[in-house]
Amino acid sequence: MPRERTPLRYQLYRSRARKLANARIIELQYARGFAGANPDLSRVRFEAINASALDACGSWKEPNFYWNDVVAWKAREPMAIDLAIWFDAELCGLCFANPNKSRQRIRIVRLEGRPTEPHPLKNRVATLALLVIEQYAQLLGSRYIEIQEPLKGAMPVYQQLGFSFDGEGRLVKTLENLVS
Amino acid sequence: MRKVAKKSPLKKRSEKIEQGVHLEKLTASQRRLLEILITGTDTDEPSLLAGRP
Repeated sequence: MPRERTPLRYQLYRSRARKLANARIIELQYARGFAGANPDLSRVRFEAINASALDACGSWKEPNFYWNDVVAWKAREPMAIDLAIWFDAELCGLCFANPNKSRQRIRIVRLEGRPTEPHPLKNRVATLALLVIEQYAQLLGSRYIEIQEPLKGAMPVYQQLGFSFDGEGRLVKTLENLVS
Repeated sequence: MRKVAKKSPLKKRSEKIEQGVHLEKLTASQRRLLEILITGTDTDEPSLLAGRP
């Protein structure tokens, strides 16, 4: 009998994915040492897109999206994952991704770093988001991550992160099994 | 006789999750992402990365 798709189950997975990704980067920061390591990745936090995140992105200059839309999406899509990437009290990035019905494929629907002004996680927003999404994909048993409507200017970033176009012209990354 | 209070399955599961944070293994992809995280991406990351405004 298939497992029941309760919102609570996915809420737990989302929270776990954010927490595990946070643990990874804190471990990484410990491994590289704190002296002179810039930025200090132990100051990164992954949260849901909540009132604080919406409030913070309200002060972004020229944002690309109206992120308040995500509130309604979250209510409609129980399996979707939303992500706010913080550096201390500074909001540096936002992401929303949604698995398909079979959960085999997770599509990153929106991903944006703080526009216009410099921020401490510049050139790390996509990597951090992917770290959480991959963790979530692992919990769901998904096989692919897809970028919806990737921007041409972001292609080198995605290629470095392991994405390539499939036979149908979709920008995807195939997930592996655990090793070692 | 005192009644034994049972923990809810959800709470037990949450505790397992907490304990599992450092125990779970990394995929090669996750390792690669952590390596990229140290230096940042090779090319400048645009603010708009996915989705059409």
